[in-house]
Amino acid sequence: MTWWCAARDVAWSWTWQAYPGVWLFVLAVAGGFTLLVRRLAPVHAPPGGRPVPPAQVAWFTLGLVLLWLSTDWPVGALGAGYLLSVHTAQWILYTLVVPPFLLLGVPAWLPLAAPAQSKAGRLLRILARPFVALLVTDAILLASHLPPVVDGFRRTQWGSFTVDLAWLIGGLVMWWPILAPNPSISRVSYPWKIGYLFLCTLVPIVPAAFLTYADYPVYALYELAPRVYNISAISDQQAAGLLMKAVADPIIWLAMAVVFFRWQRVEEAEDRAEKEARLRGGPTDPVAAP
Amino acid sequence: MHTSRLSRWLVLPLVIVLAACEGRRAPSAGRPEAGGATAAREFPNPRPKPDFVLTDTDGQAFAFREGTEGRMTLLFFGYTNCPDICPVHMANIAAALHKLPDEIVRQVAVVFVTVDPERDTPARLREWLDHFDRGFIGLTGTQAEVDSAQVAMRLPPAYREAAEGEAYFVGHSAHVIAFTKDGLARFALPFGTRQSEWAQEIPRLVAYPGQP
Repeated sequence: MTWWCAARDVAWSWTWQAYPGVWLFVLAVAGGFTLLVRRLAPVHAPPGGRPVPPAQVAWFTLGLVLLWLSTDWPVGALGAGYLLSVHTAQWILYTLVVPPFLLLGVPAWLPLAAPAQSKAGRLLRILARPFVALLVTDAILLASHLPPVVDGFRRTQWGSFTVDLAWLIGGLVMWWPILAPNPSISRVSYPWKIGYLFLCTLVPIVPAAFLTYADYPVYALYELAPRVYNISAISDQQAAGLLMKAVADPIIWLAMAVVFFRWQRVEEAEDRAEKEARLRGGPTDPVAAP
Repeated sequence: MHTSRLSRWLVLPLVIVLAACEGRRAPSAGRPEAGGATAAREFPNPRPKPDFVLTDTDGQAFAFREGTEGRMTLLFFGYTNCPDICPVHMANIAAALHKLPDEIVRQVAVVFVTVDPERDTPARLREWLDHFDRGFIGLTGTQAEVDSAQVAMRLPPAYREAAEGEAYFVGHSAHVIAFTKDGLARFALPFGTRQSEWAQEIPRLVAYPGQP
């Protein structure tokens, strides 16, 4: 039974294919999140109001829809076995697009439900350290783009599932220091966040350069795949390399801009508060006060 | 305690990797893999270049032996409606040739003989081959002529597979036969030969039996 998108030996066709494993996976993520919230909210959610505000439900739902679209037919099938450029688009979606939406949907109280001393609590805090997150994310990126991994894993449904899952985990880890919903989990300052995001754009240069400038196709799987619309293997590969930088980087730049403006807003608010306090006559900073 | 925990964490990724790679042996995952399996295979007994005469894409008679004499020749039997093997073979040979020096390319003839003459008219054949390289030679003929050309190469004649109306597939040999310049078929290059491998093999075949 075909349950997950993997490489196939047949010519590409726009005839719809069912991948029930993808539906189950998306439902499992949705169900797991709902179950976690229902079980933990009575004890950990702040009293009064909804445990997950509607805006956050909307973010999480959007993340799930994007997850489903980037995994199911046709994107999943094209990416798994026909076009490297679509495979790269999937990497962008899994790593840079879906995780921020999912994390924006996590209520601030939820990560605190895992005590700091527990395994889960420690893991959440360790992964919120930018250096650790960067190491995990880049390791997944590099390992999942090695030719033996792509050529071997994408041929089987379990292998393809492993790659997709690794990308999603890598994406969640990458965004965790930036978007962890509670400041007690991630204490990364705004300038460090911007610096961290910049560092996130560096390692993808390696696979992107290989894909863009290689004389011959890097992956046997996509080179020997039945052609789609006569797109040559090398053009497809160059498109993949360009996507990895020309599309992925602007997404991170956008995030850097958001962090910067949020930082500016916070500083302005602090300045205003300070001015107001001065106007009221009291010293705001005990050290600076005469 | 610590050792067992550690080994658990080491075993888990190993199990995932093994599970993922397991299907590489499965018959359903039939796409060829890169590596040694795709290198040129030498015929134990080199065969002489056959002397069949077919029709080229200009509608002229083309004598295979005479028309390719003195050049290293890559001969492939396929058809233009082929969804997988034929376009990939042609694209990979073309991509390698486009990266090789002119003095090597001039010594190479690529001949594509259709096994589906009913649909592959000379014009259709030319249009399709031009997607890859304008220098590729396309040959067609009657079904009997095409079949006997395959038999001359000791290949089983191609056969029409289960059809759905006008759309049908043709089962055919997936090997490219390489004739060295002395006119002998010495090597077969299977489907799965990659562009980088063609780029290595073509100069070697041109220089055969010496070194490129």
